[in-house]
Amino acid sequence: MLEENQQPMTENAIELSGVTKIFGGAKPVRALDDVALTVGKGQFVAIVGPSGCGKSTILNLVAGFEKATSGTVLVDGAPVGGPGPDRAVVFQEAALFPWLSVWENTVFSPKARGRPEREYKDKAKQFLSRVGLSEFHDHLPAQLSGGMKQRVGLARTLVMEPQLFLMDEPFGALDAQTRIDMQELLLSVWDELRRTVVFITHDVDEAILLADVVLVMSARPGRIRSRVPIDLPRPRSIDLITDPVFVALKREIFNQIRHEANIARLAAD
Amino acid sequence: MSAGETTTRSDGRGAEGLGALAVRSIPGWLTVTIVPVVLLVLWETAGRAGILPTGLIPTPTMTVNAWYVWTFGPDTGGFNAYSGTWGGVVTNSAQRVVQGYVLAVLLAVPIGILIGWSSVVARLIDPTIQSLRPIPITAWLPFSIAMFGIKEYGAIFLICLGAFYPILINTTHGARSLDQNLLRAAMMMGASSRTILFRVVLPNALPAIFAGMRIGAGIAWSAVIVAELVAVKSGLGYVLWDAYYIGRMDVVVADMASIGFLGFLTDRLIIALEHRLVRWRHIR
Repeated sequence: MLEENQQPMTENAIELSGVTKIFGGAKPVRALDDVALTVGKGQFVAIVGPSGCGKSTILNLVAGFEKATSGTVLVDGAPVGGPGPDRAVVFQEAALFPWLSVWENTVFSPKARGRPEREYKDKAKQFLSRVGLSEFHDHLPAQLSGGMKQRVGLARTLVMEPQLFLMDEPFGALDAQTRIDMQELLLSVWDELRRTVVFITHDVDEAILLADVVLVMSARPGRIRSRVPIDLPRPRSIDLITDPVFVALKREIFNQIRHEANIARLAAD
Repeated sequence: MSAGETTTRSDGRGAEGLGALAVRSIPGWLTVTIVPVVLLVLWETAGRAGILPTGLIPTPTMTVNAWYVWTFGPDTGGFNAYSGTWGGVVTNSAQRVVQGYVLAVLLAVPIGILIGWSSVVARLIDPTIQSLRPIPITAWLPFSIAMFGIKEYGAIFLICLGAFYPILINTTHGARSLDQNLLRAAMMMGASSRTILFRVVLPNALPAIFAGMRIGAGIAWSAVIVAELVAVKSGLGYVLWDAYYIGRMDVVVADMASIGFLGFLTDRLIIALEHRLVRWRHIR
């Protein structure tokens, strides 16, 4: 990757080492077991794996929503204390504030942090039009479709201008066509910004289409099973899906996931 | 898709079936009035036919007459202690309700939000409130008279107490019902605890707060009547008992209808306020 070559090797946006996460309770669940991974600055990393493998847990640890049972979680070399605006999160169900208009949702972060309006107004307007929602400025979330809600969910993180985007199956709940639209939107936005992205998905096509690197996770307790670099040229479009290289990558990743799913099933029996 | 269509179609058929059962040619507002009108006509007829003892149970027209005199005080010849006093009486009660109720809202909403938001506050305050709550406001009457005497404050205290609990409990519930992802979204966007409290927890709790406020308003009207029956010498509750003592059952029934009307009006006002403040809940 061009981006990696430009930057010194030590510049990792995210570094996890020896990370274990056990959810307590009557029957403790070991969600992650000794996970180590690094994400380079400006890299788009997708994490795939069988359901329940702890993909989202990794993201929640980096976001600061949860704390690791053991191990270290570093962002820009510093341990993660709690959530913060340097790490923007796009949630699966958009998680917009239903009482705020599209505009108020979009500018929530700078407004909540007490920034003066002149500082963010023009920028926010640009991002809102970038996701195609200028016309829906005053609409409430309840008046929007699932895809439009997710566009607002993306716009409000763009306004934050974070170093890191964490996306937790953001298009998982959308219908096929809307999902493709959103993937193309994200591709073109990312081509402009080139910020670090961690993208959780169970859709292998989506992972290959978007990412520089696909991390395949093992079944619970989750570990990183393999790291698959995606050397497809950018800018990319949805047409890539039928490209032979794409298909070969898909087969490889798919086999690994299937293998993990089988292990999980055997373990359950 | 096909499943959705089938559901829609069968729903449509269901609605038609119900429509066929109802009287179709009558508009909705008229349907609503049928039962009350029939009841009033039966009541009036029974009174005039001598089936009901009108000295004990006045007919609707007698009640309306009593209310008219009570409200507008026309010169009817004889002495009538109630003549033209309705407005003043209603104002007395309504003022107490407003004072006690507003005080209850001002206390219950912040306390409820804090209990819902902070487990420390919950442990600190909630047990006390929960152990006082089962004591009905009627049981507080002697205590209230001992504390405040036969004065306004006694009534306001009871109203506030009665309205406080439902508003508090609903507010707490509303504050606790915040979707985890909304909280996480606010945190990752850099909102401080204070901002989260005022711009996320509070608006999220508003629908529940209004639900509590509607229940609280009903209890506030009950409380004012109870207080005025015993602890204050004016208002609708006082007139209710006074009129009963001197055998003016027409005034008693007119009084009851007035209480019902004011309670209804209060509820409508709160609903209107809710539609204004919680607009997002009503837009689909």
